[in-house]
This record gives sequence, structure tokens and C-alpha cells, in this order.
Amino acid sequence: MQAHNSYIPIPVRVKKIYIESEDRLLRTIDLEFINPDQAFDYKPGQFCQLSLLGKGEAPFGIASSPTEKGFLRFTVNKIGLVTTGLHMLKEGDELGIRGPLGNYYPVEEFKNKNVVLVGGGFGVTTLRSLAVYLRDPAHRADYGDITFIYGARNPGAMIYRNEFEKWENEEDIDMNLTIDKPVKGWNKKVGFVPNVTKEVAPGSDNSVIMVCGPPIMIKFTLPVLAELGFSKDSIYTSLERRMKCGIGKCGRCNIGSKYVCVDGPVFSYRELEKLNYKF
Amino acid sequence: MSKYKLKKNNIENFLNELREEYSVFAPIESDGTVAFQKLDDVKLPDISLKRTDRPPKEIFFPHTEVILSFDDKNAESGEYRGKPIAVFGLKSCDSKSLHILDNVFLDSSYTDTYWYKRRSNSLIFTIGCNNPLPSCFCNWFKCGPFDSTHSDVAVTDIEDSFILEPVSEQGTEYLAKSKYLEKAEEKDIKKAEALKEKAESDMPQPPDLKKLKEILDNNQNDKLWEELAAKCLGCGVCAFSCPTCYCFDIQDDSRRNKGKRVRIWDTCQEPLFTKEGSGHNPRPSQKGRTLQRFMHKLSYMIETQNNFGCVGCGRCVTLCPVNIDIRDFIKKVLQVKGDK
Repeated sequence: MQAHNSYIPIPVRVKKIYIESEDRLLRTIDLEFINPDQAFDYKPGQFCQLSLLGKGEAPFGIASSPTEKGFLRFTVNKIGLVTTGLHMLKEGDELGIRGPLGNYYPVEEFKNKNVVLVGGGFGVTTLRSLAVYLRDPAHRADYGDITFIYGARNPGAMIYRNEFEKWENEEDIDMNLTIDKPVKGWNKKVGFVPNVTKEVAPGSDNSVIMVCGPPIMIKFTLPVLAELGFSKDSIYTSLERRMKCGIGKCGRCNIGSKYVCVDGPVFSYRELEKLNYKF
Repeated sequence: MSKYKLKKNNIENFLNELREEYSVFAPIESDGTVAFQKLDDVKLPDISLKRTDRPPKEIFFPHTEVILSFDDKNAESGEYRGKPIAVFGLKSCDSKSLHILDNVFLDSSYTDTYWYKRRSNSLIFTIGCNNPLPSCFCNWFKCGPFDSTHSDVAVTDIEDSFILEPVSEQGTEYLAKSKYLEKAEEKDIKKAEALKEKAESDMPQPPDLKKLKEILDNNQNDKLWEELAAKCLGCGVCAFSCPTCYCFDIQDDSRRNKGKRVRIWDTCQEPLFTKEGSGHNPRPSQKGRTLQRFMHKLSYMIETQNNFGCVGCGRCVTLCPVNIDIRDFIKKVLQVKGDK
């Protein structure tokens, strides 16, 4: 019964670094496995523990898609000891990774449906993974319309901006980028995510919707989705909790009898309601 | 199955013999505190038959455990590499607690290597409680002072001797080869049975807990939680002394380029336990934290492993500085709802 030791990080190397936000507190790192035999496969929505020996570990959603080969992408908000350490890494530096952890967006169940992605702030990371996965030539025909709504406080806080702006010109995805308040030079949408969702989301017929972002955004988006006719089973979100082990042992990320690290992070609104979860 | 007798003047020999194959732990009293300690010396200290003050989980899940040692070049797992572990003198509630923790650490999705390495091939000698304490309530949770379900050998203290009955295959094999056992006589077995009956009948009748989970699940905002939390200091002694509380933290400790990654017991009673990097805390109040601990034991664990997470050892009842008694709380819950 003894499987491999899930607490031991796999060595990875920083392949590329991108500064995401104007305030430089959000930074994206692409990682590659030092020993390709240790590379793992994953699904959109899963997360990993990034590990710096001597500093500790912290959980991050995987922002790359399994269809993108050769790197794993994470976006890190500089906020504490581990994330500051991650910000100090240079290209070529080594660190550890544990994963893939948790469940994922049920992409098999989404087949033949329209998929709506609603993201706010840097909670958009795993939605990028999902969007790239759905749009991959090998999968795109399996899904209906893809609508993406992404809101940030201001243009400088918008992550993956260059890539998302390219997607605005693509035929197979309806991109809607929005900022909270008007800013000179911004000629796209302005307004909070719930309002923009109301305006651009397609009908709820044969559609599923992912809502990821700050709890306050989710709280105000849910009534809009109810209005649009989305059932509680067709709404999904990805939750964040403080975690240590990531494998359902350390006891801190539970909501009722479920652990966000193994039973989540992806939950349907129906499941969360059963757990008495409040945004 | 045949029962054996171990004369008390042979206990030292018996445990020394056990030490040839196993790393042996037994309850030892030192400076007023009874805890499971590893038996190292040839001359053994006196074995205490009291309920230990410290919970037995620490044998398999030490308070502080190195999970990784590292320097510039290498990182090495700190997993246990010693002999299989034998524990002599666990109480029924405590051997059941190991089973509950097995369900956590060895569940089907992930095996916890550190627990597994210490726990595999362990040999558990459970000793019956001749005199259950006033704080004992194992019989509330389908257990009893002489329950030996989760043991390899069941032991009964009959004053001048111990009666040993094998429970598992591993226990049967071990007892069959020990040099210090003799066949138990009929009168010894009778004596042991009488002690068992007496202990069982001495314990007060438990309340009916069939509806407990349902009532708790439907009343998370109830005033009872507020009353309980208002009393609680959040010190965590209940969790640290609990044989089934398993929450832990992982911290790195390093100097220059050398260091250790350790896991340390932690408790859901501590506000920082769930506080996130952003400052957000999903359990900011003592009410939420008290609810978490009690619901975990009395509701969530029924869903995750079909057991109450409490084994009724009574340590939290004895140690709580403000006299919170989980039995009183359960009775209140059952009572208030019963009246409605």
C-alpha cells in the first residue's frame, strides 16, 4: 500500500519570468522539470504546492494548460515569506513542486455545451488554463461558444493582458475585458464583473459557467446568474484556503466535511450550498 | 483462542524479549505526568497502568517530526527507518484512536508516508480498564473499557498477573513464541471476565446518539454554540491532548544553506490556523473555531469515515481550564432539540 512520498517536492527550474502588474506585485513564472521523467500530467483547475527549501510552501493554481507542453505556469502575488522568495527567483534557479493536487473543472461534462468563464483580479489563473485547453485544436470542436469575461481594478492590474488582447481578435472566443473605473486610453468595457456578465453572457441554455475571483465579486455575480437562468449545478467556482499539506491530512482547508485541497478546489454552487458555504 | 498468563514478576523479561523485535513503548510516569515512552534501558522503569496524560498519537505522529532535511545539494526524507513499533498498555479508547487516525493518514487517495512507516507492522497490546475514571465515556461511541477490536493482543490486569488474549494474527504469532507466557488457568480467565463485567457495568449508561449528527447539522447557528464559545479560551489543550486530533503545521527551519522541514501539531482553536496571506480569515471568531472542532468530531467524521471522531477518553474533560465538558454539550444538544 506504500505509495510514493507525497510530501517530497519534485525539482523544477525557472524557465521564464514575466512581470504581470504595474505595481510589480504579480509575477508569472514558467517552470520546467529538471528530470523530464518526473514530469506530471494535469487537468485545468488543479493546483500545486511550490516549495522553497528553508522558506516553505504555498499553493497556486496552475495557469498553464496541459495542452501547452514544456512548462508549468504560475502567477504569484507577493504577499508573504514564500511568495517573496518566489519573486526573488531568477531564470535558471531551482525550486520544488508538489502536485498536481485537487480536482479540476469537469471538462468531460462540459462537452457540447457553451462555456462561460468569469474571472476577477488574479483569480483568473486557472480560467486561463481552462480557456487554452478548450480552445486547443484537439478539443475546440467538442464545445459550443466560449465567452470570457475578465475584470481587473485597472489596466495595470490586468494579468495575461497581452495574450487576452490577442484573443479579442480570435473568432472562437468572445473576450470581454473590463476595468472598474474609466481610465484614459482604455477603450474597452468599464464596469464591475457582475454588470458586464449580465450584459454579455449568453443565455443559460446548454451553458455552464465558471466564476473565479474575490469572494465579493462572486457574491454579487451569483444573483445575476440566477436572473440569467443558470441552475446551481451549472455554476462552478474554485476556492482558496490556507493549506499546508495539500493532500487532505493537515486539517485546515475544510468546509464542513470537505477539504478544498482534495475534494476541491472546484465546486459547483449546488455543492457549496449543501456545505452551508457563504460568499 | 488460547489465553496466556504473564506473571507480573516476568513483565520485565517479557518486554525485553519484545524489544528484540520491536521498538517498545509503554506508559511511564515521570514527574507526575504519564506518557508513552520508548523503553530503552535493560532495567525497565515501572509501567503505569493509568490513562496517560499525553495522548498515544505521539508514538506514531510525534509532536515535532522532521519530514525533510536539506542542504545546498540534497534533500532527504526524515521518514522512520527503525524497528516495527510495539505499544504495551494502550487503553481501548486509545487503540480505537489509532484506527481513526489510520483512516485519516492511510486513506485511499493519499498515504501519509510518515505515519505509515511508524504504524506498519506495529503490535498493539490493549489493556482493559479495571476502574474507568469519572471522565471516561468510551461506551458512548460503540467502545467499552475492555474493547479490543483495534488491538493485536488484549491484556487484563488480574493483580498478580496479566491475562493475554491474542486478537490479530500478528498477535497470535507473537504470543505463541514468547518464552515468558504460560497457559492461563480457568480461574484466572474467570477472574479476568469478572473484572470486565464489573468495569462495563460501573460505567454510566450512555445517551442515545443516533440523532446527534442530524441535530447538529441543522443547528449551526444555535445559541448553544455561542454559549460554548463564550466560555472557551481557545488554548487548544483539548486538541493537543486529544488522541484523534491530527491537525498539523509544516514549517521550515534553516540556517545558511542547511535546514529541516518539520511538521508540528497544530490546532483549529488557534486564530492563525486558517488565516490566509491576504489577511482573510474564514474562521475569525472563537465560535467558528469551537464549532469546527466539535462538528469535526461529531458530524464530519461520520461522513468521512463512518465513526464519531471522539473516542471518549476524557482527557479534554480533565484538562480543560474552563471545564468545558463535551458530554454536557452533547447532552444539551440532545435535550434542547428533544423538547422542541
